[in-house]
Amino acid sequence: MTGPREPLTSASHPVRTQRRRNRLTAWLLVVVALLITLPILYLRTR
Amino acid sequence: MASIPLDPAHGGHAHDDHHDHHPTGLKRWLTTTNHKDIGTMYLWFSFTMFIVGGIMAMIIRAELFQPGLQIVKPEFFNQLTSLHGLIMVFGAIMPAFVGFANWMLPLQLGAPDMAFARMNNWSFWMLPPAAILLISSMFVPGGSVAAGWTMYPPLTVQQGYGMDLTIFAVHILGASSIMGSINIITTILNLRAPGMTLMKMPMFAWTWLITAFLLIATMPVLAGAITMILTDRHFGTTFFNAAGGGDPVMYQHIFWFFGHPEVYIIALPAFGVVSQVIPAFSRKKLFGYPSMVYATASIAILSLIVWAHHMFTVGMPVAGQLYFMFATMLIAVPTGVKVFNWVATMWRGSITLETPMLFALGFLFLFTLGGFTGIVVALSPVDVQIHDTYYVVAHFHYVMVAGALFSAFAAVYYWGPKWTGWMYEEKLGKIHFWWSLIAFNIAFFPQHFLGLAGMPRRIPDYNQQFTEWNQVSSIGAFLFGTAQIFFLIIVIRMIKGKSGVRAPAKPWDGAEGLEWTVPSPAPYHTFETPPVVK
Repeated sequence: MTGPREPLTSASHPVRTQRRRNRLTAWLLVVVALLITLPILYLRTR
Repeated sequence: MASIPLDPAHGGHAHDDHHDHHPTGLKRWLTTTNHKDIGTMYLWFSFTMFIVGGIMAMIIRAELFQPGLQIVKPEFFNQLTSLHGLIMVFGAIMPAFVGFANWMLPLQLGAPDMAFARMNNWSFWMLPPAAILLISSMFVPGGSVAAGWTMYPPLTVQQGYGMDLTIFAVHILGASSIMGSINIITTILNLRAPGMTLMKMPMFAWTWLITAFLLIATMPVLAGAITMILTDRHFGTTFFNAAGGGDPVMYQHIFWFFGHPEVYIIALPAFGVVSQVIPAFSRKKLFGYPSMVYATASIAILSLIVWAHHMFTVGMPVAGQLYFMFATMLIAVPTGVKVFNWVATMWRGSITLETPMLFALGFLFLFTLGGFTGIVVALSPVDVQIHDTYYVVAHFHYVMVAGALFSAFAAVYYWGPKWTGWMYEEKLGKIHFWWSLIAFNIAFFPQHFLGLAGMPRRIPDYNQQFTEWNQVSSIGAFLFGTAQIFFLIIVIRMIKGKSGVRAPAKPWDGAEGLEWTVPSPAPYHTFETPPVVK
């Protein structure tokens, strides 16, 4: 998932792989945000 | 910072320089996905808001020059203090450091751009509408938010529809910050140059990585809190209304779960800048790099569990007060680690005092002072006496202005030559520093005395016994304000090349990092072929 990227020199897949990795990271972060926010708002307002 | 020698076979910029084709004029700025363009826009936006918030501060200080009411009505005064806070926090300081992140992170990590370049454009262009909403709320019937930047109910539930504009503005600013944070984390985790392990990253990247996690953890909570105010106002809920079974103090808990980490969202990237500048001008490596990383992470984690120290006076149980007091004081430990590491970096270094270093040293002295008064206000029995007095105002301005703003100035002088291709005029930079330093202390140091003597904050009038120190403070504030107009002149002169000295690729001989391997000004596209870091 993480770690230094590969050199993007060959013409084929790396760019697409990179974009997929980026998108996956972003959605994971959205999940993290929800996992923190929703319980706090629930616990504080129940 | 860890050493990152370059593999000369992959030096990696000269062959990137050839395609500088991009739209010109307004279209360039509206449609750009280039991290450097977006960084530049963030920085100019931030400076504009800094001036707007600064003008509000000047009116506040003019009103407080004498006891009694002179210039503005009390209700407008309340709007000024509230908007000054919101604009400076969300409009000036945060976008400034996002601007530095946009400009410098890809250059420091050897990435061609941010991970989500189009979302980056959207993150920026959400800001101007939000700023317009926020400022225009002053001109609607009932005026803008007048309950302080913290937007406490019940006042905010009762105000006119300027409050709705403020809520929407903060929503948009928050959404922009969350998108920016996701972009920054993804860039740092996925787009580092081959060989750049996490523990070889420059400290600025580390501090931003941790800050971005804080942002995505806390910004949605703020959004939730102000959405509840919105539904309390218009949709019949009673989250914060005791008459309906709600509780206004609950808002304070939710707000400060965001609000305290927000202090570190502002401070941590500032620490990152200082951690770059001090080694560069001490000509030594950063002392204790791993401990700096762990201290930054510790501060971030602790910042999430200390929020109620902002509300010692709401009547919480003694056990709660004790917990939040000691947890808060614990933050002094990792912060102390950082301060000692900066001092140890300078120890026996070959120090020169160019403007970035002066601002970093100013930061070090004054932020430490602000941190020290932070320990004072963290003490629950003491805080009960000085809560909502000018002592608190003095404390957080030492943290925010001498901390974040001085660090932002250091960053502009340090990286400005890389952005513009020209050196700034050293003499003018030094004048700006000393002018700011002296004026800042004249403005804010007396506020400690006023607070200890009992002068309340957010009130346009005061008892005559407070007159002298208020006058000193106002004079200092006007001097500080004019120093920043001088700063604008310095920056414009740097952009226009008035110094006549072209910036070399690496203008600071002690500086380290990939950003200094590309020419100055940095070409439009950099590191399309990643450099290899050994």
